[in-house]
Amino acid sequence: MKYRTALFGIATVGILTFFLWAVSVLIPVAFVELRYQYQLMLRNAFHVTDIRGLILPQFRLDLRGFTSRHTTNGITIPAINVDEPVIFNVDPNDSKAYTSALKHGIAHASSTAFPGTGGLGYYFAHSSTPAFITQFNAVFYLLGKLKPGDEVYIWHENKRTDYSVTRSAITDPNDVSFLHDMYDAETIVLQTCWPPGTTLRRFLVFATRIPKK
Amino acid sequence: MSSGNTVIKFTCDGRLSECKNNESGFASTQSLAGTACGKTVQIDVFTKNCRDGGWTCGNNDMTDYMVWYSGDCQTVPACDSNQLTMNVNPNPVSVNNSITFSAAGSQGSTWIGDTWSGGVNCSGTVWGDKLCTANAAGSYTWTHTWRNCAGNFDNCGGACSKQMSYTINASTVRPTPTPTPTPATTSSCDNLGIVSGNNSFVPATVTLRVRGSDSAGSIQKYRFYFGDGKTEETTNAEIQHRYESSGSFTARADVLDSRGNWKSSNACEAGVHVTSLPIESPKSDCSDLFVTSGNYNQPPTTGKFLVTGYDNKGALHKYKIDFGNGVAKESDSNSFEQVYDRAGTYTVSGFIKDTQDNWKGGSGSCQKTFYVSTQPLTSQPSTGTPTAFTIMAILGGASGFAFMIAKRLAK
Repeated sequence: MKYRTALFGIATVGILTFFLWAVSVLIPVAFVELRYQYQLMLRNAFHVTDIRGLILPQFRLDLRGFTSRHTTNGITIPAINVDEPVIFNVDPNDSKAYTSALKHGIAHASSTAFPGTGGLGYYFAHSSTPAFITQFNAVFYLLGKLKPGDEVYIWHENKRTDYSVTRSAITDPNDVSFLHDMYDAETIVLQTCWPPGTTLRRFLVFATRIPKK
Repeated sequence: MSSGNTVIKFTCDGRLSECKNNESGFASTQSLAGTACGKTVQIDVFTKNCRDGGWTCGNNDMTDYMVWYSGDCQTVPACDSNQLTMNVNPNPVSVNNSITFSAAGSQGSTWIGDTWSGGVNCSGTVWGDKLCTANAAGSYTWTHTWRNCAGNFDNCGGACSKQMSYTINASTVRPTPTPTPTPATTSSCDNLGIVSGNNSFVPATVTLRVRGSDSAGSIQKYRFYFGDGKTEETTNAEIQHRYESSGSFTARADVLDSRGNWKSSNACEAGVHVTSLPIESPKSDCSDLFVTSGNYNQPPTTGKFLVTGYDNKGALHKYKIDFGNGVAKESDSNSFEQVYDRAGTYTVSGFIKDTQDNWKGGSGSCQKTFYVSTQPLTSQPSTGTPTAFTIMAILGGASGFAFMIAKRLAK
């Protein structure tokens, strides 16, 4: 009897843990994935990014930064529907500092370059988090879907800088060798944990500056 | 009406008993041409009752007045050829090719003319750039002549001049190529000059011209800070701006190089003066706060800042800056320095104290963010769900559900 009660208790804890994980990690990630698939379908089938665009012309604009919401300090990646604020100059070596920043958007690593100043800028955000936050839970979950040529727009102090994705890489958490590589043009690195739902590896997307036209 | 012995005009439309209708016979005027600077004339307007019962006009009879001020006596700047940049491009040039003469700088309220000792088809005055054609080989001299004025164009100094030599090669002569090491890519903002409109009366249209250089390509854009709180970005190196207030303004410019980086320097700063009119309501404000160096560095770093502002009633009394780290400084100078010992993001605010002793600024273009970087990245930040939590949740959930199903089946 005691054995069965203990087993029952363990099973209950296991199910509760799963529910916690499902609510904080699985559902937000699934939501982001579903939204992406829905918008991909809209884009491919009707060439609009919003269902309202089927009727109203003002919604037929492709998301090329014209509709970005965070034009003071923000980032827009049209291909994966990212349009979020950026918190600049966040200490990437202080987990308390960056965890706090990631609750408010995408973090720019202090000691790396700012947009328009040359050099390498490093931006990071959650692929998922168990922190029970909804808005910025899985901001960079879709980084893996970016392809070379996709555009990334970064606003810093109301000025926009455009980048084009060149490549991606999966690295160990302690591998920072890419910081010391030589780059022909100003480059940014977008980072998130990989695979989603773990902290095992880091997924990096590299994008280089598009010269102003 | 009275006029302080400078302007007199009598007009009467009043009562027949005192003055006849349209008493034009009384009217007289005095020309103000040639009035020295620094003179104030007040024209008082009285009611027609003023003359009723004799000339007993008092303040109660005055209906209006107008003040006319002939302007400040300003010192005419001395000839300073260092303040004028002359450029000949290309130099040397071959016969039958185009050659451009350009002049810019803070000197030269009026530009008198230009002369060329030979070798080119050129005439007139160089305003900004002048395109000419080389027609004879030799070494020649270009002389640019100007005059400095202050306040108005009646208050000008003598003629100033500066010379520059240029060489024209015979068309058959080709320079021997000499191998040169590839220079490192450099770009900079080299000069900001006032082409025209300096010292004009308000509202003044002033033309500014900026010059930048880029060894890797050409300058793509120019950003002008006019010193009156307004900013404009353009692809033209020359820009016109209308100043709606008189006073002294600090104009600055940045250039966007071919690599997409904005470059600024103290060489791209120029003082614009707009002369006041007789009646102008007081206008003053903080125009801009510039971070001139130290931004984005690791601690300890010295941040250098420049606060600019204007006041149409005189010189600014003081400048103040809040460095965003709990330290604030007040000074007669508009340049400030502060050492930042700790990494962080600081909001720096600049203020000016106008002639009415009011502090203004601290927001908008007079507020900037100053970044002090942390130590470089040692390992990449963790941006996912702890792996252990995911494994525990999946295994726990699976075993829990399995147990529950087994329990149901056992019943």
